[in-house]
Amino acid sequence: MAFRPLTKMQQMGEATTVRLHARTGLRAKLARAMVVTLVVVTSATVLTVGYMHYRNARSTLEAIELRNRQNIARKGQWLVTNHALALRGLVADNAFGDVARLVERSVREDEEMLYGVFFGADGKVWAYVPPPALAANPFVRPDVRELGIDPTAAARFGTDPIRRQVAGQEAFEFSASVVAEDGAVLGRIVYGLSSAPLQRALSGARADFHRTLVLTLVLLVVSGVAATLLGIVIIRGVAARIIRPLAHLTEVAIAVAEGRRNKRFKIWTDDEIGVLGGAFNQMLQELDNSYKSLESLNRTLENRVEERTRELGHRNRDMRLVLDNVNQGFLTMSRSGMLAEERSAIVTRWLGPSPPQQTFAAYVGGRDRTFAEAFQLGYEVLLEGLLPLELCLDQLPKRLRHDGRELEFSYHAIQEQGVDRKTLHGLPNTFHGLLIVINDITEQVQHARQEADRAELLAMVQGFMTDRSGFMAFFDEVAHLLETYGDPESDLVTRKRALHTIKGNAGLAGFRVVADLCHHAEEQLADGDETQVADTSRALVERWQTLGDTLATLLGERGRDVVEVQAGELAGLIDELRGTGAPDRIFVRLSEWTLEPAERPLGRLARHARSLAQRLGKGEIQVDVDGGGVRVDPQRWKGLWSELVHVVRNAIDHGMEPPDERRATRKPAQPRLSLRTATIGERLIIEIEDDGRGVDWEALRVIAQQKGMPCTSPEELTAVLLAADVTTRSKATLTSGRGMGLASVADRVRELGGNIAVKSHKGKGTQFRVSLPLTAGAPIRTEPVPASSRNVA
Amino acid sequence: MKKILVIDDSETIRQQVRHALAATGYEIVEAVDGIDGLEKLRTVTDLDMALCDVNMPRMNGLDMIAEVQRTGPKIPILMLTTEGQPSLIRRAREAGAKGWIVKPFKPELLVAAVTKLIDPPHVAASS
Repeated sequence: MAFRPLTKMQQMGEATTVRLHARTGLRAKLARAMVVTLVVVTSATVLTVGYMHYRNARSTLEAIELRNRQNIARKGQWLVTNHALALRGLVADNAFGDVARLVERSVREDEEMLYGVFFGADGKVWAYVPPPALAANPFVRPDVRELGIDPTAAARFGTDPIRRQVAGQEAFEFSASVVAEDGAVLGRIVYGLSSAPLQRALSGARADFHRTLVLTLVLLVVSGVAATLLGIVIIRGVAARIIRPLAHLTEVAIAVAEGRRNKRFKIWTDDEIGVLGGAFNQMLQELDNSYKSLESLNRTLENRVEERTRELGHRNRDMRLVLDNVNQGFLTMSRSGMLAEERSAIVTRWLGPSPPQQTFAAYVGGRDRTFAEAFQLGYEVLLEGLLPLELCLDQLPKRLRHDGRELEFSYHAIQEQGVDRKTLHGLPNTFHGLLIVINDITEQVQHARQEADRAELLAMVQGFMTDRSGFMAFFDEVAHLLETYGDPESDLVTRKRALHTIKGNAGLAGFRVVADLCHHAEEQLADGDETQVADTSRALVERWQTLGDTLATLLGERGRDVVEVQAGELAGLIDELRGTGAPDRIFVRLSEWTLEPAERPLGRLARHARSLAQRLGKGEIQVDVDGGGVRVDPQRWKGLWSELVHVVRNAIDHGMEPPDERRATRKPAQPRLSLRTATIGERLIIEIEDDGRGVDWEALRVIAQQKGMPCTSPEELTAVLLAADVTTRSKATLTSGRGMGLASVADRVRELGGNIAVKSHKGKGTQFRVSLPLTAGAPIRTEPVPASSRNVA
Repeated sequence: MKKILVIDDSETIRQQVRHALAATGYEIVEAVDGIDGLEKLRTVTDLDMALCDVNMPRMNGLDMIAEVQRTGPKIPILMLTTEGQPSLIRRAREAGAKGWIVKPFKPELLVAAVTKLIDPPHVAASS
């Protein structure tokens, strides 16, 4: 699996969504701001222009009104002034009709004129032309009072007219006095001018103004809107152009955040964004570089981890292989005493399986409680740390006997290295537990025991040989003390004392096994462990029995009733007797003392035969030894006995069938070998007989023919058998089969003046019979031949 | 100087202890049985520790330790035992022994044990 570390960007990218909406983007915001500005500016322009236009229109209207009013005033003033002059004569003449006509003509002929009145000096109405609205009804005579004119009021002079509402219409009233040449007031002329032309002019101007205003406004709004729309388009373009590098930068950032690390910002502006983009690119490059180096580092690390794992796997396998095949037991135990699962397979074979999470003490406790208890105690003291670790380890129990095995334990502290434990007080924290090594020392123990047995026997023989009487005295005393020790009547102190004396004496005499057994018994007595004491005592008595038996063999059948005499001394005695004329039989008897019973050399042959049979896998064989009461000169026949070993070898190696073959031929499973001596006449007879498969005479005959040897009579065949370089075996073994052994025996026998006869039937067995001539002082029958031996002798 | 009491009825063992500890320069006081040991513990001043056999005439080591625990002095005691006697060792521990040394002992281990028990470790390290 490839390890890929997350970058900060990725972490952020996963935590939040880096996505821009069109409405929240910088471009939209910028466009919005610009559009708002544009709209505001456009609106302000439209309003300002409209307002200015409105103000202009107002002032124009006012000017038109003023001019119109001035015109009306001038006209009214001129009219009343002129008519006042014109009327002077007519009034002075009291020409009422002319006055009325003049007034009427003036009013009728000028549409601007609304009404006209002429008051006489007395206030009488001379002429009255009403406004058209009041003259509409022909049946009603118009009354000047309807106009609200005061007939008595003096005429006002000047341009400033009286404003009057006449029939729902505004009228400008001008008046002038008709004055005679002498200055007398003859009357007053009043004209009312209609405001309708003024109003018409005003309303026309107003309508023009409105039309213009509306047109202007419409044009302004239209152009404003158009400008705004155009502005928006331009703004969008500009905003897009301004924002594009930023958007690109954002896009690159998002892409990088999403893991596309090869994306780069393409710089095309020389403003801040361009600089930012450059910096961003540089940052990305560095990020990419460090990412790559991190990746390569990761790969290296992964490879290394994989390699280490593989190595570890190999090592584990090798270790397991070692643990499965090593013939030493390895166990590890934690500080708390728990056993580790890993151990050598042989531990389970020796001590059985252990459930998981078991302590070492519990594990061995199931096999040997005393061992477990001793371990527990020792380990407690070790953990206390008051005593040196080496001492505690040395004093943990070392031997466990289980299932017929002697197991030896050794303990090694598992500690962190580099700490000198000797300098630390108490048990250091670096102590993690124990490595327990177990060895099967069954064979060594047995060997050592046998060695000790042998050493003890040797010590006994040496003791016996060096100081026969002293040794016998010691032996008798120990036997007596053992009786005392084993006597249930004896009190404990007496028994202990007896035991202690035996231990001391045995130690002095070199009887180590006995001394050790006594020592154990003493310890166990002190400990009060009755069962163990009984076991040890039994072993002690048995051992003593064995030693006694060996001593009996050493002493011979007549045991203690033997007198030791030096050979030289005996020879001296015989010489001395020769001069005294003692009977011959005395000499013969005395000479006999220098001879050895034939059982002794036969016994040696028998032992040799047994061990050979064992070595060749023929199993336990039965060896019958019968000396026939013959005593022989050990010096003279020394060489013969060692040559006869060849015959014995031949009988066992060639003659004796393996057990299964014997069973097939219905022979007793245990092969039998008989070794006998006897004297017949003046000859010593030695017979070696087995019940094996016998000599293959036919095969021998074939060989003899090949070699050109005579082979018709049994004697001739026997000669072939005893000849050198003749063997029926196709393969030589270490033991025999080279065809040399029997030839060598035959030579020796011939040298001694004897002969060899071989009787053999195929499948029944073989008898070698050596016949040798006796000479003076040589084998002599000294005892009657035992009845049991007679039939075979 | 540190003073150690060795209680054992066997002259041989006492001699072995003496020889083993000779190089340390500690003073060795000897007692031949439990009664003698108690006597020495009461009369000899400034004892630093005791090594004590188990099987002894008159009074055995276990009884002696039990008595010492009752009456003092409060000094560490190590048993001198033979191998394979867990029940005895258990009793000795219960009686108050700090530990035990199996006879026959390796001299250097006896020295290490005694030194560790009565000498501060830095002294042991520097010596």
